[in-house]
Amino acid sequence: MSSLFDTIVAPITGPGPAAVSVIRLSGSEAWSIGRSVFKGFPSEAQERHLYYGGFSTGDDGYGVMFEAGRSYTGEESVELSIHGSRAAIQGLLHECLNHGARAAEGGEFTQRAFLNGRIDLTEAEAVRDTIEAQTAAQMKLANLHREGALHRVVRDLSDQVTGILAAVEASVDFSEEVGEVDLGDLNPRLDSVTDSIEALLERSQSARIVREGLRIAIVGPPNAGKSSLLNRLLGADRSIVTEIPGTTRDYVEEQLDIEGNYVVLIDTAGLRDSNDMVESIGIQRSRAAAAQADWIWFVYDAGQGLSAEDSLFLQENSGALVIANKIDLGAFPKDQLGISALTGEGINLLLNGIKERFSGGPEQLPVPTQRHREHLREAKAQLADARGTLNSPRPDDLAAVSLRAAMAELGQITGETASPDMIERIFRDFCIGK
Amino acid sequence: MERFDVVVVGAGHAGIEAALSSARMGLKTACVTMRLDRIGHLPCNCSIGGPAKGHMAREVDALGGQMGVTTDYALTHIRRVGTSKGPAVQTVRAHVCKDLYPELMQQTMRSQPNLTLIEAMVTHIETANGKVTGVYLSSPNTYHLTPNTFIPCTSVILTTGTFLNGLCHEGKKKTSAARHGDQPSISLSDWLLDLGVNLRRFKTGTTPRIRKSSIDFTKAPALDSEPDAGPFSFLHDQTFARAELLPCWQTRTTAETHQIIGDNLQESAMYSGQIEGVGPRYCPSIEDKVVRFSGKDSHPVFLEQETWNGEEIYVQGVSTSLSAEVQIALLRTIPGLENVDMMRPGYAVEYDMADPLQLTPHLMSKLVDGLFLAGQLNGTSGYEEAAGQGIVAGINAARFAQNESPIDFPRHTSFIGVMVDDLVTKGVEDPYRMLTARAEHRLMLRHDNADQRLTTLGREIGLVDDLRWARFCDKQEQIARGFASLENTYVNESHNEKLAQIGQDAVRQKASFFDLMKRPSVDLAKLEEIAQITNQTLWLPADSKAREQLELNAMYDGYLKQQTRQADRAKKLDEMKIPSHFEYQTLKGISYESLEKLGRIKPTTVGQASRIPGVRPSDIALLIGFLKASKSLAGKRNDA
Repeated sequence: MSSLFDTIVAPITGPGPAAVSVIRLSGSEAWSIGRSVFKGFPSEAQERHLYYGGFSTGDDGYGVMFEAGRSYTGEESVELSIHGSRAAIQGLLHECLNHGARAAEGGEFTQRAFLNGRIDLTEAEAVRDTIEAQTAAQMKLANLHREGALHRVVRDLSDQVTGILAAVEASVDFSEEVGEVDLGDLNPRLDSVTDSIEALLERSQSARIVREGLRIAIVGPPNAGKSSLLNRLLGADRSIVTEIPGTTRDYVEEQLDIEGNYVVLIDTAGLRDSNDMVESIGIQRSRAAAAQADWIWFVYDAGQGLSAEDSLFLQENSGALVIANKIDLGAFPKDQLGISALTGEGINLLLNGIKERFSGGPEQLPVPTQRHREHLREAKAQLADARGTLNSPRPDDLAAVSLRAAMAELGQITGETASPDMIERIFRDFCIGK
Repeated sequence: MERFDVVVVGAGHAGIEAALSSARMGLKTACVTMRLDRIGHLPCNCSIGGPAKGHMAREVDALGGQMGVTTDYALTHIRRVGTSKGPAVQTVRAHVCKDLYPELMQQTMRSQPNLTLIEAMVTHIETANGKVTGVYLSSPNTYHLTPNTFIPCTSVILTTGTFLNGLCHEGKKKTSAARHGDQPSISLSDWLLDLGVNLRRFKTGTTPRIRKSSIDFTKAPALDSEPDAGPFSFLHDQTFARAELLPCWQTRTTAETHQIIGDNLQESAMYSGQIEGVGPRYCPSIEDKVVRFSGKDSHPVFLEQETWNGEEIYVQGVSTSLSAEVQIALLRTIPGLENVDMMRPGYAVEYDMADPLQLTPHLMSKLVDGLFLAGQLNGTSGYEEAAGQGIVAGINAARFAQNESPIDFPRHTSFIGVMVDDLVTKGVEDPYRMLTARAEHRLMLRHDNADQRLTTLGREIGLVDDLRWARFCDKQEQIARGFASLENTYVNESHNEKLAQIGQDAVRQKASFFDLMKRPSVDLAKLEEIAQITNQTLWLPADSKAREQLELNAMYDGYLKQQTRQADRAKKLDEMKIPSHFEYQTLKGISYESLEKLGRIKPTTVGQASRIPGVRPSDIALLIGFLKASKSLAGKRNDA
């Protein structure tokens, strides 16, 4: 079984440097190019057997051959393991290109897997999520997505819209012959679909935390120990921590894996009026970062207490967790969390709080991705238009325009309305070597 | 016999448009029909138009066809329908005189340059190397005896309607006939079968005819004509009715009617199992309606006068194949018909239809090049559906004979395109009738803008004559000028006082007259008033049809834009061509069901492939991905 397409090559491991990197060749010439650049395959080499040998670059390593139909892409393939230095990787890639391979584009291996019927589009989307999964929770989500749970929900919504459209169409076409057709009250039916879409969008908010990480902004007055807290959680000195207030002039983002949960901590500049231009910009950015975070941790110095300015901020951000730091220096109210970034006291309480945010989370529910969210929002807008038309003196026929548009949007999620744009979009977000 | 470019078999509504379009495009055309005096015959009702059908009749007209023009001359009644349902649904329903319409059609056909009429029966079609080479005829009266006459030709269009193996049913009485008073054509069916055409049995029916003077019109209110609803044709400024337009009358079935039908279902040819053919789902017989809508105790009935001076009244809504005795009994339960005299009973016709899945989107058979099929033969019902296919087949048969590329009729530019695509992509399970719901972009496919959608195409292919073209260009220019004036004339806050004087709400900022028209209370006449009181010059066309376009486009601006976006998206798939000899096996992940369907129907575009029932969307995604990848690869190869 020969491939229809040319032979492509790219590293399928990260950019390195690493101990070992793997380069994949895929296409009808994969074996022949593989043999040209790797001298380790015996003439009667068996597929899916690991061979040791030298590369034409002078390096040495391992090679595996895959038969068409039994590889990731579905095409004849070779995977070569070499030392993971930049020079070694680039050298071997050049050798492959010289022997007639073409550098693979982002997503091209997966695209070929799709074109060769190894996976369908839904799976391709899930593959991307799986590849990008950094934590166990993300992995679970990707797996659920691959099982098509979201598609079932959306298809059901689409069926409901079809039912509403059918009612409109029947009244439009047959009133002349069989008398006026009773449309019934379509409002509750439209509302029910809209509510379900809203629920999905909300769910996607919590799912986004799993997929993109729980974003926690650490805010508070200067020198309250925000950076010390971050460092305590990271277990390393990442932010500059000094005794001079206002040291963290911009904000710093750090990523953490807390027992399989992905967390992004944002250390912000201290909130206070500052005359220093650079610092004021930092403060503005901090406020913006806080506004976009999933959770705000407001850290203050228990020895100093809360200022009027702090109280105002907390009024505006009622969802914030108030953390009294330096509890050895002062008392704090019972509804607040007391810690000592210095000694580590109370840090466990914070970690438990993070885990709670993930527990009972979206793992068991279908979750829309960014692409899905766009279509859901548009479908919702179209349904609102249809409802508006049906409840206005305008002829009902016009509502059909919006109902059809809503169906098309939902179809883009399930793949019922396959479009070139959608397919391009799915593969566009992949990186090279995937 | 001498050679023709195109031979049309049949001269019903499909055959007429096919023959005229081919001849008007300059091709030497013959039209063979068993009875010249039956050209343009209206065997069922006398109506042209109605929901979705009016749209198609206007489309045929916009392309340079004949149906609309003749309707304006043979008109006896016209009124608007669907006016409360929305701009895309409203259209007109005309009645024509059943004597006059065929007479005028015969005159038109006889006087058409390049067109020869032949009274004979086509027995079979000759082919060589997968192409049509000619047809064999025999004289109708003695066709079993005389030797076959051969007409060499390049294209053949079959428009045989219900004539293939036609069988009439009236109660338990069966007659071998294509319709009342016409003999069927049998040998052509055999020839098609031999060719490999899938023939299936369909049925259609018609209503009893009753005597006008026996109707009590005090119980059947008149629906008057709306003379300003016409003309039908874009070519005319007025209709040419020979007398004051007639009304039609409305009445209804009653519980007693339904009782009689229920009691006599075993009498009905349809229900006794005598008819194997599948009847039309959307134009059902009264037996069907009573059984299927058992919850409704009454159905509307319209009484339509068939000719200017005749007594025959068509009972619209009571198509039936019950026995004559039962028919008269049930008619007499209808208000106004208590003492009615039935002139002819209704009957059902069973006939062979040819599976349209074996046709290309240009209505050419996939089995032999140069053979085109159009009209009821393809499993449709209705004069307008037939005419629409007739013009598509006529145009493409002519293009084929000229060795020119075929003409596509996409779904987003005409109901004709929707119909043809439905037929050749989805096939038909029961007689296909056009419905507005079948068109997903119908807001763009209005009956009032058929000319804007199709007349330019008609001109390009040589169907639209100078007169129609000049009228069209003039109207377009008026619309464009009117638009420009509406968009470049404004009111602002300083005009609010004057707006208030004529009961108009204030504007908050500068607004163009075009935008003002989106207010429900503002039409062009109101705008002229606003222009006057604000001392501005507004140029608006005098022509009412051009004015209508301006109003519709402003009123439905948002919806039209939305639909245009949808249509553009759909167009992308319809513009992705699938190579004609594409091997679907190349798509390794394709499902077996999709593979079988795609291989059999051989869609020409990805859009068409995506509309085939049973082809999985994931397989369409695969197809798109494959075609795109092949294309980008070809691009890379060219770069290298």
